[in-house]
Amino acid sequence: MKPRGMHDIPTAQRLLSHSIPATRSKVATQLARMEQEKTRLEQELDVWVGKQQQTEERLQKVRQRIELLRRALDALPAEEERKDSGGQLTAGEERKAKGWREITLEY
Amino acid sequence: MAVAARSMVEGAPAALSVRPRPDFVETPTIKELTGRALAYLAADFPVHFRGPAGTGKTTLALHVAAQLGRPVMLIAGDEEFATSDLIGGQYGYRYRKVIDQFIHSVLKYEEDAAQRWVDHRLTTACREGFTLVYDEFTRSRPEANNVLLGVLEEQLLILPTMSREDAYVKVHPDFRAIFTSNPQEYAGIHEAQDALSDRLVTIDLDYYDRETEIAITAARSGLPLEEATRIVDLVRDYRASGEYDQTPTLRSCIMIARVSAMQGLRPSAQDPRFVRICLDLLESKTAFTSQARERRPQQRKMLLSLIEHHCG
Repeated sequence: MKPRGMHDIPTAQRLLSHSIPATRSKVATQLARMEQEKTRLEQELDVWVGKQQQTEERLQKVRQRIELLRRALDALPAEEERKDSGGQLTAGEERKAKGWREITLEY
Repeated sequence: MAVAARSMVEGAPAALSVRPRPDFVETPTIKELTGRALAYLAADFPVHFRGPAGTGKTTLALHVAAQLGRPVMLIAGDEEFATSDLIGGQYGYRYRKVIDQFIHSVLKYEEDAAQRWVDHRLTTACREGFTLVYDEFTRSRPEANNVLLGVLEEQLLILPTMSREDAYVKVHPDFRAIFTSNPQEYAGIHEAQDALSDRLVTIDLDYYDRETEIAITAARSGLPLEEATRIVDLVRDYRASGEYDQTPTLRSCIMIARVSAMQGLRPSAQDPRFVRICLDLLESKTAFTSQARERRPQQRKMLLSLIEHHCG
């Protein structure tokens, strides 16, 4: 393969790491390290896939909720419309809304 | 004489909703007084009912307040009152702690404590447009009521400076104030300052007319009108005699009538139990002093003859 840039020119280190070791013990050592790295990456992939599934489920729920709220919003009249149509709060409702505790006093 | 109470939201500030009892009697006299008071209140003038004990000042004030249809803040005047008891004050602290770890390796920690302002009834009434009923306001020392001057004239409640951002509270247009007081010669009463009295429309109340007293006594006791009439006439004659230290009022009529009704007694001079009730409630209107004790036999004789006359 013809090199196209500086990145494609193999360094001495790369040539060394990509080459097959000459001795049996070195091959065994590198094999063990590679097996370990493979296991780690497989575990990481599992986590990512699991996380992706969770996120997709949550996203699905949020989409459903948004749809529900949109429908509710369309069904309810605006606050101004409610007041215009005589929907003003009574004195009792107003106090309730403000969190007043009403005590009845008879004289 | 008011009965009371039911709550809806636990722990929330309380507002009174006043309404007449089922046995509340509105005679032409009460109607006329209520109408006068409402006319002054409608013109945005505070009303002051002044009269001796037992003339129904508080009940009338609550009745007028009920007609306004707004929640009521009821305050009872007291010698120990200070301005802060009316408007509120700094009670306790608001404590704030912020731990910010927006960047996980950086801990930002803030902590502060600020004094907490709590509104009292006058401030609440001014803010929310409630009706303030200040019962027996002359029992409070005059300087405690100074804060009312600005509220009633300039429609502005001045809160202590430095205490909070809104040091001035613009009085709500629906805010109305009704005051009651005893005449000045009564025990435990302070003189109202001229500036405050000048801002109030004072309506002097005397003991109700005979018809009103009979109607109220009958309604409050459940006795027939004819029997209530005898008791009212007896008490009114005793009141006219002046032979007492403490004026017998409509309350005495209601007490005698209600106890008699509950005991199943008819107002009769022949019934010793009824006579005993009358003596218990009316003789005690004389002070318990050695001088008054000498007058007791004569007073008893007079009371017995009054009972004989009206309930014979």
